Formats: sequence, structure tokens, C-alpha cells
Amino acid sequence: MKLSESEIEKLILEGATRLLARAGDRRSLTAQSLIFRIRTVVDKYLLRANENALAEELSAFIDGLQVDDLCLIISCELGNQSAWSELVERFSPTVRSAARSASSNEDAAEDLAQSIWAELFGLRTRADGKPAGKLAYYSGRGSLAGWLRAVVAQLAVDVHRKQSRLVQTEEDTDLDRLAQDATSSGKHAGLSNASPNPEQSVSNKAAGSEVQDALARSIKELSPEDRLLVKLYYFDDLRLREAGALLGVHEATASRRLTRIHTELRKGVGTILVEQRGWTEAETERAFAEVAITLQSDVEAMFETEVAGGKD
Amino acid sequence: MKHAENNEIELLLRDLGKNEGEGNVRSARAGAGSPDDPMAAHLDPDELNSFAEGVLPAATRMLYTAHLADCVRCRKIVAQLAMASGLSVQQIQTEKAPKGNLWRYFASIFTPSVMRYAVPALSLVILAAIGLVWFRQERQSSFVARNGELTTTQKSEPFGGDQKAPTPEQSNAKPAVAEGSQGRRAGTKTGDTGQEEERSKTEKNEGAGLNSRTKVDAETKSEVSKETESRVARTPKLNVDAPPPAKPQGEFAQNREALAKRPAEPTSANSVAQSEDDKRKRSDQDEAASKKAEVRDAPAPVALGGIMARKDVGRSATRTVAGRRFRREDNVWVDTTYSPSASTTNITRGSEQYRALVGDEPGLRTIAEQLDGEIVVVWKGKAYRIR
Repeated sequence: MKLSESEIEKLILEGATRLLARAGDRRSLTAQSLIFRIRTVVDKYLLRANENALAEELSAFIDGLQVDDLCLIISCELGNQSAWSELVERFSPTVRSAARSASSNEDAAEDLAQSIWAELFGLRTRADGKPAGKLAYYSGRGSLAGWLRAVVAQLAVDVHRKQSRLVQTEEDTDLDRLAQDATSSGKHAGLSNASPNPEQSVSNKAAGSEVQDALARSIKELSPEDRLLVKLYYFDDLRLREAGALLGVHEATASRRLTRIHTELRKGVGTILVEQRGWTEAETERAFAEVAITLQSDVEAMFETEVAGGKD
Repeated sequence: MKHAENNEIELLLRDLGKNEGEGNVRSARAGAGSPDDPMAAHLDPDELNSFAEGVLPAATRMLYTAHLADCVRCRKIVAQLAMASGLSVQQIQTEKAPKGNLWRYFASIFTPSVMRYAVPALSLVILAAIGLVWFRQERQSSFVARNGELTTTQKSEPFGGDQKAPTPEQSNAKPAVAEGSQGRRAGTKTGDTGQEEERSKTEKNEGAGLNSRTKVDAETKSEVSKETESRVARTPKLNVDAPPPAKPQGEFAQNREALAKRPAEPTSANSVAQSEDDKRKRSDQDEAASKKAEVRDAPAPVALGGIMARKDVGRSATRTVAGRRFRREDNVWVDTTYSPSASTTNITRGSEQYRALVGDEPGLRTIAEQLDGEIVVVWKGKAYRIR
């Protein structure tokens, strides 16, 4: 049964009291000063996806908040200077490290770190006269250090986006030139790799393209979790252990899941090619085999090129 | 086949990932998400971090999973955060299942996917265990059968059924018993050494009328003395291995000396009447003793065989000696080839007839010595009842 508004408010107040009771440093905060923040995070992460959450679930959710980090951030928001000093002192290394990871050089990292603190403090002011900093968006659900890293990463993407707009045209030209070079040299061209017979090459290319297209569509048909696993592993080059950890499963489970996904995809691609493109079963099998041979030879050629390059 | 198919898909996925990756870099840099994404706006840093740390409720997590699967920009940040924070599976699993863990754990054990492998493996283990037990029992029974055969020739027990002697003692006792029985045989058959001397002394000292009686006495006494000697001879040897109190050893030695002197006493006293009375008394006692001695000593020329045989009487109803099979019937060892309708010759152990028979037939002697008590044996077509 859905909790009433008054019940939710009561549970939140009780939860805030419990949180403060176990806080290492309450920083002179009261339960009332936590209520707004807790209400926001409850709505965002619990009630939005599950309106019928039970009272026990709600209480457990509140108890899972990072109370010390939350108290520190709220104190900073309230203009507590000692809290600010502590925040900067404790988390400067984290911010600098994250900035270095997201930047191409040390100067850019330093600039990024500085801009993070400005963003957190808030150079602009809100309607109530308080600084409109990013601190207001920390919910206390995850760790403060992790949240700071996420802020840095997001800011780095934004900065990169602004810069890339300026150089995009030039970069695209360079990329196109590189792609043309690679295709003409025949060293690294994926499915566009030419075979001795031009007719067969065109045929293979068309078949390969259709198979890839069917595969992309089959991936979209997968469940969100399976799709995320495929993309983390094949598109983002994460290790299976890392991808599994992100999904909350063991590496072995992720491996088994991936094997199952392969089977599903194979079946999905076959179905698309037969039912929608009018291929026969034999043609589908042959196309799979040919595409696999082409890709395998591409991988081997690429490996040999890399080895030769390494020797030079 | 399936493996090859998976390899093909794997290669295709890698190729697609490579191509997508190039596009993804651009779209990630441009901050674009998937056009099909229902949550067009990117996840904020708090959502990204909460997902990466695995601290979101399951339902909310599913929402973000759908977004991350299609949004390159957010996925890259989440992956980066997950690696930076050293996320472990345990963290997420603890968050996912805070209560009812045990029940879920057991439920997960009995899922069809697990049982599919567990049931055949378990049945295989059970079959192996049963096989092992059966094999061990089989081996044990074969050992018992072999031991049963070996007991007829090897197994021994120096002091009868009541006392159990360890193996080293058997080896010590063996020569002593053999010595005793050999002495007895020699004494009864050829009358050599001490018995011969005793007999000659008695003949010299006593009158002719007493001669035959003295002979009988001497024989019975010699048997008693031999028996005592054999006991005495066995006892010290056993004591070497398992030293009991020293006193009995001395007692045995004294008895031995006393018994050795006993036949000489009447002669030294030179009193015929006294000796006659003594001999009469002794002869009565010795008759009983000789009967006992017959029962006890007769079947033990091959040292331990007879003693062991006594012990085995209670255990097995059949025995095989010298290639003949005997069955125990009412305390009588009966040759399995014996037919009750056949005529039987009765022979008493220790009699002249007995000595003559076993002297001519060593095989029969072995049987008579290894089987104690009454024996019915068929030998060269004739049936003998040895008592």
C-alpha cells in the first residue's frame, strides 16, 4: 500500500534523527536541516521508481545515506568556513587525481581542478541570495569522493565539448584522411577489406554490411542489462571483471551471461536475415563464416603490422 | 559448432564495437546521448556515482541501466568511476540483497540450472562410494577365506584357546613344543636317553615281578614329565617376549627339577614296598594325567598345528589337513569321504597299533597330529577311527 505524505514525512524525520545520532560530527546541524535533502533523495532514488515502497524500505534507504559526508556538504552550503576548509583539505587530492585522469596534460588538469572548486562553491547566486553551487546536488547516497570524481569527469566532458567545437572541422578532415589511407593500404579496413576477386569483394562487403546491420538491431533487442554488458565489454573495452562489477555480478557470471548473449544474438541476426531480408539458412550460415574469416584475417594482419611496427 | 558460432558473433561484435567506438568518441565528446533514449537528459554526477558505487535500489538501478546501455557519454563516466573507486561485486550484492539472503541463497542452489549439473555429479559420487564399500568388503572376504586356509598350517596359539599369544611368541614357542613332542615320540618309540636309563634303573632295582608294572609307570611318568617339560620349555620363552612376574618362572623351574627327580626317588629310597604304594597312587594319578596328556599333546607334532586346531574347532566346522577334508560332527573329525556303512578300525592314540600305523603312514600321522580328539579318516580305502 502506498505511503501517505504524512507517513513519509514522519519516517523522514525519524530517519534524520537516527542519522544525526550516528554522525561522527553533527556540525551543529538539526534533524530539520537534513529533512529537505533527505526528502529530495528519497523522491529521486526510491519513490520515483517504486511508489509503493514500504515504510521499512524507506527507513532502510535513509539509514544507508552517508551521514558524515552529507553533514559536511550541508554545513558548507550553510556557509560554515571550517567545513569548507575541511572539504578542500580532505578532497583536494581526489579532485586533482580525477582532473589528471580526465585531462591530456598537467596544466589542463590544474585548470580543471580549479574550476571544480569554483563550480562547487557557486559563483552565481540563487534567488534567495545564496551561492548556486553544485553542492546542492550531492544526495548523500554515494560517497562524497565518488561524487566529486563524477563532477570532475562531467565537467571535463563539457570542457572538451566546447574545445572540440572549435577544432571539429579540422579533426574530421584528419580522420577522413586517415581512414582513406588505411583503406587504400589494405592493412586495417575491417569488413571493407578487399579480396582478390572484385565481384566477390563487393558481394562480401554487402553481405558483411547486412550482417553487421542485423547485429546492431539484435543488440537493441537485448534486455538493458545484457545490452549494457555487451557495450561495456565490446565497445568500451572494459575487462569482464570490471563490466561484471559494474553490473553487480561476478566475472564468471558475466562470462556465462555473455555466452548466452552470443547465442541470442546469433539467433536474432539469423532471424532478421531470413525473415526480413529473404536470405536462406544456408546463405546466412555462409555469410557468417565468410565474415568471420575476413575479420579473423583482419585481426591477424593488424597484429602483424603492430609487431612489425614495434620492431622498427 | 556452438563454439564456432559464438566465435563468429564475438568477431562481429568486436568489429562493431570498433566502428561504434570511433563514433562514440565523437558523440561522447559532443555530449550526445542516444536518440532513442527515453531519458534524453544525461545522468547527473550523483546518479552516475550512485550507480557506479552500486548503492541504488534495484528498481532505480534498472532505469539507469537502460539509459547507460544507450548513452555513450554517461557509460564512459560510469565505467571510469567504477574503476577509480575499485568497485567490488560484494558491495553491490550486499546492497541488492540486504535481507532474506539465506533464503535466496538456498533458493539459488536449487535452481534448475544448478541442479542440472549437481544431480548427476552427486549421483556419480554416491555410486563411487557404494562401489568403494563393495570393493572393500569383497577384498576383506577374500582375505578371510585365505586366512581360513592358512590357519590349518600357520596359525598358532601356544597356550590353548583361553590365551592369545602374539605372533613373535609363536615363533619362540614353536621349537619348544616341537622339542617336547619330538622327545615324547622318541621316548615312546625308541626309549632313548633319560627314559631308557630310568627304565633300566628301575629294572635293576626292582624285582622281576614288578618289571612290567614299572614299565607302564615309567611310560606314563615319562609322558607326564615330557608334558611338564614342554610346558616349562614354552613358558620361559614366552616370558622373554612379554615378561610377566619372575616368580612363576622359578616355580616352573622348581617343578621341572622335582619332576625330573621323581622317578629316581623310589630307587634311592631302596624301599620296594614304599615304592609300590607310591607307584600305585601315582599310577592312578598318572592314568588320568596320561589321558589328559593324550588329548592335549597328541595332535601337536607340527608344533602349533594342534593347538591352533583346538582354537579353530569352535570357529569352523570343516578343516583340510594333508589334502583331506574333515567335517566336525559331535566332536569327531570325520573324513568327508567316509561312508558310515564302511567297516572302521578303532585305534587308540599312543597304542602300539597307533604307533605302527603312523610310523608307516606319515600322512596319516600328520592328520592325527593336527586334528585333536576323535578322528575318522579313510586311508588307502580303509576307515580308521583314531581316539
